Amino acid sequence: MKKRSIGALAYKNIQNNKGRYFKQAAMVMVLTWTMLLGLIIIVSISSGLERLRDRMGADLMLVPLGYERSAEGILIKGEPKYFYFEQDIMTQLENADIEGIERLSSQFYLTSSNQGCCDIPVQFIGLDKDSDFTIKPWIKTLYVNEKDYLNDGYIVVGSSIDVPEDGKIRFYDQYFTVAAKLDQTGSGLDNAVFLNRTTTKTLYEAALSKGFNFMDGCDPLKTVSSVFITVKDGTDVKRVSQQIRSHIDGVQVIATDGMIGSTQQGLEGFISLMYILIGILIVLSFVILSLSFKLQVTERKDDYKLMRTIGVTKGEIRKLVLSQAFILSIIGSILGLVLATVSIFPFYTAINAAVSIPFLIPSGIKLVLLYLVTGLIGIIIGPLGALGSAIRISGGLEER
Amino acid sequence: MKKILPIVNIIIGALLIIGPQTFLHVCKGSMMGMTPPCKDIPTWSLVAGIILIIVSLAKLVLIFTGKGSKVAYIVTGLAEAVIGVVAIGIPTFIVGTCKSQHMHCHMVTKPALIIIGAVIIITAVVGLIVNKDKKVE
Repeated sequence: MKKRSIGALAYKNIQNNKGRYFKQAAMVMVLTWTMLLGLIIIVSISSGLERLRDRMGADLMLVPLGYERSAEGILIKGEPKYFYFEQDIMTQLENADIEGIERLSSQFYLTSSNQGCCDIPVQFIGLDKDSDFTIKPWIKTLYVNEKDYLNDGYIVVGSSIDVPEDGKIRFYDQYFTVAAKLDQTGSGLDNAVFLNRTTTKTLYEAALSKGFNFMDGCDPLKTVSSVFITVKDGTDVKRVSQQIRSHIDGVQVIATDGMIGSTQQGLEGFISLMYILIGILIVLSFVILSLSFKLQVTERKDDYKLMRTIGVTKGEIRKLVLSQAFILSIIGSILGLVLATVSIFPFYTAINAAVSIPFLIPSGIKLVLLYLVTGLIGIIIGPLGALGSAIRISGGLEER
Repeated sequence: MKKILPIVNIIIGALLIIGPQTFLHVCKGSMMGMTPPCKDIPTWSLVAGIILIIVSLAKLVLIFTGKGSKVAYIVTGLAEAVIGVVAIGIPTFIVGTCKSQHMHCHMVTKPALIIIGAVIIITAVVGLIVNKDKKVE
């Protein structure tokens, strides 16, 4: 019997006993499906946190005392919120003589309501055009000149906000021209709209005329919601943070690394659990497949004996058992990978909205690697599970 | 296989009927006096689901009674495929969804109906292939 015909015989065997082999292919399918889903979720959470860390662009964030959770809500979970400093924080910072500050820029927060049937509330972030350093590195598409993206009447939108064909978006019955779109972060910032202080004032007044009132005496040109600070190279962030606390009252100083770090810490347990579950699933699949192949080979012992009498060697019988396992694993793996693909990619936005944590599906090489690793494990687990049975049956036949 | 495929399509038909009324719901009510463009999706899905169930039941009868001609299998198979195309078309070119990516009809109903439509087309094509030779089972 030629090597090629062993494969053909294995395929014919599977075709003639679909019911018998279906369970083994289904086991491999469930393994690859669950494993790829788990790995994509793990990598997406890690990528989301990594991207958010890069995206922050600042070492310290100042918010009014007691608003740390709200700031986290805006940056990490994408919950539209607004809060304001009651004091003139920028003047206080400038007069406080704090050493080690390299750059600082203030932001003003505002939220939208549902404007039409198909809009969702978004977070507005008013920036200081001259001092802002937080969004420029993340611009993915520019629709105007590089210097003009924060001009009056222009807005910069996060990656999840659709840009209409005419490039204009309506908020509170006012139309604003989209000047740029940012790269995806997988965090709440993907649903934010960035604009300069003058445009924020136009928006604020439009909101007031529609009956929305955010805070009495609030002036979008002067009021501050948060201040982003970068420290000079070699300066201890903690020291700068302590100086700010000792000089200014009513301010919550958040180390951006610490904020992301605490979120990361909370997710580390979940990620470890996912790895453990994937490990258990691999071991369980191997054990079930081994037992299943053992039963199958024992059931077909007489067939193999008959094959031996017509001149099939014990090596060829071993190859036949392994080939069947290999074909089943390939079918199961392909089905599992396809199922995982249709379960996660079309529903990416829904998953991202549901998890409320930075979630960025990997792309390119990372994604190809995940598919390769999962596919490879799926393909080898069948033959590995069948190996013991294949060796045992060929040995048993030889004894007789 | 011949019997399984129409049964699968009956289950999918039930999903087309129940899904948009429950977990695959569209954006509810009118907001700021405007009607969501996705509001007709449940009606279209209901009709598509009922037709799919009727066609699949007819196919099952043909298989079990053994009275189906080759033409009958081709016609029912093509009808299923057309319903698959309609299921894909409901959230895309027939009715449409809200523009915002974060509206439920856009992020859940639309991809789910597209996948359901694709599965209907695949089962219809597989059905046409397995029924192409033998007149009856």
